[in-house]
Amino acid sequence: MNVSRDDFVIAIRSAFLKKQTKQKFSLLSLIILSIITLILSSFDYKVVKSVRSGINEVIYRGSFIISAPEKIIKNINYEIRNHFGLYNNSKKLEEELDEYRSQKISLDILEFENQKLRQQLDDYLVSTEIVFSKIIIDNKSPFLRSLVINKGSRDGIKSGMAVLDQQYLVGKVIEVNFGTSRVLLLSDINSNIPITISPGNLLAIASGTGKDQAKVNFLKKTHFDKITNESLVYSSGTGGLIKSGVPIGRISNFDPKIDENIDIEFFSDFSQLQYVSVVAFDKVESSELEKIDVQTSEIENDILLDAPALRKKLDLLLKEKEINDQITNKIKLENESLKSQLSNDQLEKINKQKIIEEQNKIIKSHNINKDELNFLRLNLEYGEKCRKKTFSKKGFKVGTPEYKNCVLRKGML
Amino acid sequence: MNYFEKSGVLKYFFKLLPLIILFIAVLNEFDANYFGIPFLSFNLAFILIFFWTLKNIEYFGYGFIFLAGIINDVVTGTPLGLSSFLYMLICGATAYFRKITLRPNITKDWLFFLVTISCVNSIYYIISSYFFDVSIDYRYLLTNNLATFLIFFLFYIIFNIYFKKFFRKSDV
Repeated sequence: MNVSRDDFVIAIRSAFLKKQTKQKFSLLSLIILSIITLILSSFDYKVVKSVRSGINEVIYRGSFIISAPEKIIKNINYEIRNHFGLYNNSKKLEEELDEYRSQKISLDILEFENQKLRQQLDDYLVSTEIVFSKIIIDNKSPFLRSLVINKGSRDGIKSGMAVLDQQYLVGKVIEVNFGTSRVLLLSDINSNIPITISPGNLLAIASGTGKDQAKVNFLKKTHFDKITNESLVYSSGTGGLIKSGVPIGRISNFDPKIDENIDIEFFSDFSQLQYVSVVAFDKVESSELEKIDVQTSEIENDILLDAPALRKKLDLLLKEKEINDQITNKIKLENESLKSQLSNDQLEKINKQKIIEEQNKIIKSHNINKDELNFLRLNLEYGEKCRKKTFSKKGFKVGTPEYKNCVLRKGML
Repeated sequence: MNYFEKSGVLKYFFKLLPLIILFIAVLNEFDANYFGIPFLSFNLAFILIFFWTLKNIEYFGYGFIFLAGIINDVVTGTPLGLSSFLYMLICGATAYFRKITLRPNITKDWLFFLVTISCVNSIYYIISSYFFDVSIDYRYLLTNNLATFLIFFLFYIIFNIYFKKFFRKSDV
């Protein structure tokens, strides 16, 4: 037993402590060095940061060169596949383009309205800095979904800035070097972005899965009925880093009866990214609001002066006029019918008033008859007491008002 | 061609080729996952380091492996020094295995490779998750571990043929 333990210790010592044949470093020293590097890299010291940044710069460039042949092969493969589906894609895209063109103008108008309303709410974020950059390393590792861009701190890139592919959100900057930066994609398992699901305006968090989709987290099951496979996902703007309304993707393959996981299919294809724009969003200062107003009006004017845009706008206005005319006609018709109804009602009212007056008269006459009846009844009983007798001075002459009063007073003279 | 053969440049290149492949693999973050199938993803760096350090060739030094680890960390964005540490652990395991093995064969090497990469991946997961707060999907790590283990057999045969053809006893 002791012998085998000794053998183990000797083997370990030989493996780790002694320098192997023709090796310049012992394993133990390198293990200690790697642990020291690991510990130092976890601290945020300026020296460590700058050393790390320097290493990153050199290696990123090297990696970009080494990856070039692989990228070329991948691109060729992509181009060939694209080529075969070119005709069908072109037709489909033309149809989509026509549709989008017609929607664009109305969207612009809505956007201006939206901006003004947001300004009133003091919640308007604008992109103050836009840096366009090229992707130099695109890792599709199963453990990490990130990419490296060729812009760094010298170009104004800061950690936390949003990264867009056209207008779609694809990730955010997590590491900034002097001339390069690392972007964490939305599909990475460590990515969490506050989102809004529309329609329904449901607030939730989009978390990366390490695959090509993200999933919706922190959403109550009671809202599941509001979600369909056509629901759109936007950034919610919570946190203030990314402005609200930046499109991210749409809900896909959601069926709460089968699976309660809600997957988000991104609008942007992360495997085909070549250029991205890095954007910082800042809140608009009150002094800048006027500038934005001026800019907005200028854009509006540009749209008005733009001939095709003007045509589109005219078409829209004509359609609007048609609808307004139809509404006016309907209102006129309704007005006339109401007038005739009103005159009928007035006539009816007058007739009813006459009937009421007649009935009132009858009621009054009925009341008079009632008084007389009462007098006659009392007269039978107390008439004797009130009547003037031949040998008495008391009493009143029959038919006089005094007599009537006496009868009504029940014979009290 | 004759000039290269006479001067030994070509021979030198073939001897350095495993190291060149290692550097290309880490610089390019090679994981053979171009088809998007997670089971196809394997760690070529682990295979290269395990095989060539087991053979203990002169041209595959620990210093270079350490440097390859640093490069891998920078390219993948993992904490600096982590891959170097893991690669050094593989080197330690192979050095130990070489010491205790009298008659090496493919089955023993293959099984020891599984034990080694399983331990190394576990350490990777623990350090990333608990010390650096980086989330890793352990299912991917497991499938990657399994795929690397399975494909090692194929690489072992190829590298063995290569080793016999281009290396001599003096190189070890």
